[in-house]
Amino acid sequence: MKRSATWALGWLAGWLALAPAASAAIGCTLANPARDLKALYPDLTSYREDVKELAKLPDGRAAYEALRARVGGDLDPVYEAYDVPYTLYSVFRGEEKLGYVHGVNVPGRGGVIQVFLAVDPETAAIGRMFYQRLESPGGAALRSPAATAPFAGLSLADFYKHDYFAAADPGNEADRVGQLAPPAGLPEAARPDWDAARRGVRKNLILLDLFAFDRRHEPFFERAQAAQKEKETTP
Amino acid sequence: MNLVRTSLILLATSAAALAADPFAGVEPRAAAPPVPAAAGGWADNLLFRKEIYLLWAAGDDDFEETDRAYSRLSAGFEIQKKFSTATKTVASVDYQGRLVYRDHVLATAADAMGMDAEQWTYETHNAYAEFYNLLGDPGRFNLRAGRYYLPFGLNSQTDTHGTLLQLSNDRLFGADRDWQVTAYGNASEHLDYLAGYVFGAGPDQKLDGQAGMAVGRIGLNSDYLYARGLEASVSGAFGERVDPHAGIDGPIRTWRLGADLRKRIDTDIGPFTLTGEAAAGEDEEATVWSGLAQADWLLPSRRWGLAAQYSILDREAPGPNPTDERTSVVATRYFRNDVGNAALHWIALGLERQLQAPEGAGETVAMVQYYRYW
Repeated sequence: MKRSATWALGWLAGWLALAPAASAAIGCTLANPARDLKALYPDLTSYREDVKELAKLPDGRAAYEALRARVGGDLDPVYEAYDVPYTLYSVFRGEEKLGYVHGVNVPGRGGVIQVFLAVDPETAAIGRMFYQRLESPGGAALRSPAATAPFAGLSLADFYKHDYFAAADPGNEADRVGQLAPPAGLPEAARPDWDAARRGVRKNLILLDLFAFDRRHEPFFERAQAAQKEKETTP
Repeated sequence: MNLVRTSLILLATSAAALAADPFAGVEPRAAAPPVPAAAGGWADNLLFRKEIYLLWAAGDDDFEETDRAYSRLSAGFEIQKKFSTATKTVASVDYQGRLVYRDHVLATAADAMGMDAEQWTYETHNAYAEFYNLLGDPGRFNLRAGRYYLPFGLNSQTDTHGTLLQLSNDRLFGADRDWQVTAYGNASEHLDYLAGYVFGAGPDQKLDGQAGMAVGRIGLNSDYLYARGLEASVSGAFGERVDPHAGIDGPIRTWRLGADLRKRIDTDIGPFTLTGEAAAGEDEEATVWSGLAQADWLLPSRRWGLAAQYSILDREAPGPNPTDERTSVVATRYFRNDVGNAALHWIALGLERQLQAPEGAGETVAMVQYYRYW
C-alpha cells in the first residue's frame, strides 16, 4: 500500500514537473497600489493591473534576448529570469489614461533593488522614478529627491543615445543620461547600487517599450548601434 | 554665386551637426492608433503555479528506537485570477491546494498540519476572493472572503507556505489559516488595518458549535517597510474556536492580544532580518502566552540563506509538561528565489531542538527539504 501510494505521488509530481507552465504568479508589484498610485496621481479615480510575461508573447524567447541586448549585459538568472512576471499599472481619471506605473527588480550589491517608474502614456517619458524595496547601505541617499528627480523627463531614447556618447563622445551635452551623478552622501560601498539603480531604470523603460509602447524607441537603438560601428571603423 | 556659397555653408553646418549628434533626425516610431480600453479576457491575468514539497526528518531518540525517518511528500498547485473592467481591477480569486502523503509523522513545528493527519491528505491552504476598493478613497476598504492566513501577527504579510520555519499562529490558534471574512486597507496616513470574523475552525476545518472569533490587526503601513525596513503591529482576537490540540473538547472561549516587530538591516553582505512576536491570552480560564524570535540572513545574490528561531508557547494545563519550547536553525541553498515569490526552488537543511514539548523534551530533529514552486 505504502509503495503504491508513493508511486502515485511520484507520478503526480512527475506530471506536474513535465506540464507546461500555464503562466506565472505575482511579479514586481506595488505593496499598496491604491495608496501609492494616488500619491503619484492625485486625480486618479481608478487603476487597472495587468500581468505581463515575456513567455506569453508570440516570440517570447526573442523578446528576452532583445531585452538582454538592450540592457547591455547578462541578465541575472535569479532576479531576471525568462519566466519572471511583471505587473503594469494603468492609471485613469474617468476614461482618460493618466499614466503607466511599472516596476522591476535588479540585483544590487546589498540585495534587491525595486525600481518603479511612472511614465507619460503619450510621450513614454519618465514622470517620476522611485524605489520600493531597496536593500542597500546607501538606501537613504538613493531615495532622496535629489537622487531620483534627475530621472524625470528621460525616455528610453536618452539611454540608447547614451550608449553611443559614452563610447564615442563622452561629455557631449546631448548625453542626458551621462549627466546623471551619484547622490551626495552615498557611501562608497553603495556605489554599485547606484549603478544597479540606473540599470534598473533602463531595464524598466525597455520592458515598458515592449509592453505598452509597441517598441517605439527601436530607431534610437538601431541608430546608436550603427553610429557606434561607424565610429569604430572610422580611422 | 552667393546662393552657392550659402548652400555650401548650410551643407557643411548640417554635416557638422550630424557629426556632433548622430541622432539628429531620428524619431520614435509612430504610435499605433489608440485602441479603446477593454475588459480583460478570461485568459488575461490568469495565473497558475505548480508545487512540489518533499521533507524527510529524523529525531535522534525516535530514530534510535524505531529505525525510521519521517517523510512528507506533496504535490500541489495554485491558481489566481484577477478581474478587471476597462479601467479598473475589481476583484481576484485564489486557490492553493496540496495532496500530501505522510509516513511516520514527527511532532515538528515545520509541519504543524501533520500532527494527526491521515497518511493521505488533501490540504486546502488558500481559497479566497478579494474585492478591491469597495468604499471610500482607493485603498480604504477592501474585502477578502474565504480561507487565508489569520489576520493576527506577522503571518498575514509573510508567505510561510513552503518554509521550514513557521510563525506563531499555528501554536496560538491551532492553525495559521482559517475561513474568514476580513476587511483591510489604509486606516490612516501611517497605519494599515485588518479586521475580520474567522470561523475558528482549527486545523481540521471543523464547525462544532463555536461562535467564531473577531480578529484584527493594526500596524505600520508598507512605507515604513520599504523606507525603514520596519514592520510593527498590535493584534487582538476574541470569541470561540475549536482546537483538538488544546486539550479542551468543543468550543473554546478564547482571547489573545499580541504585538509583533520585524526589522530589516541592510548591509553590503546582504539583508539581516530580526523578527519578534509575543502574545498572551486565555483558553477558557487557562492562561496562554507565546513568544517567538527569529533572525534571517540572505546573501545579496539570493542564492544562500541562514535562519535561526526560538519559540515558546506556555499554556496552563494539566499534565507533566504543558510548555512547548523549541530552537531551530535552517540553511537554504536557493536555485530560484524570486523577489515576489513567483518562482521558488531550494534545498534546505534544518535542525530543531525540542527544549520542552508535550510529547517529551530533548529530541533533536534533523530535516532535509526539497521545495519547488513554479
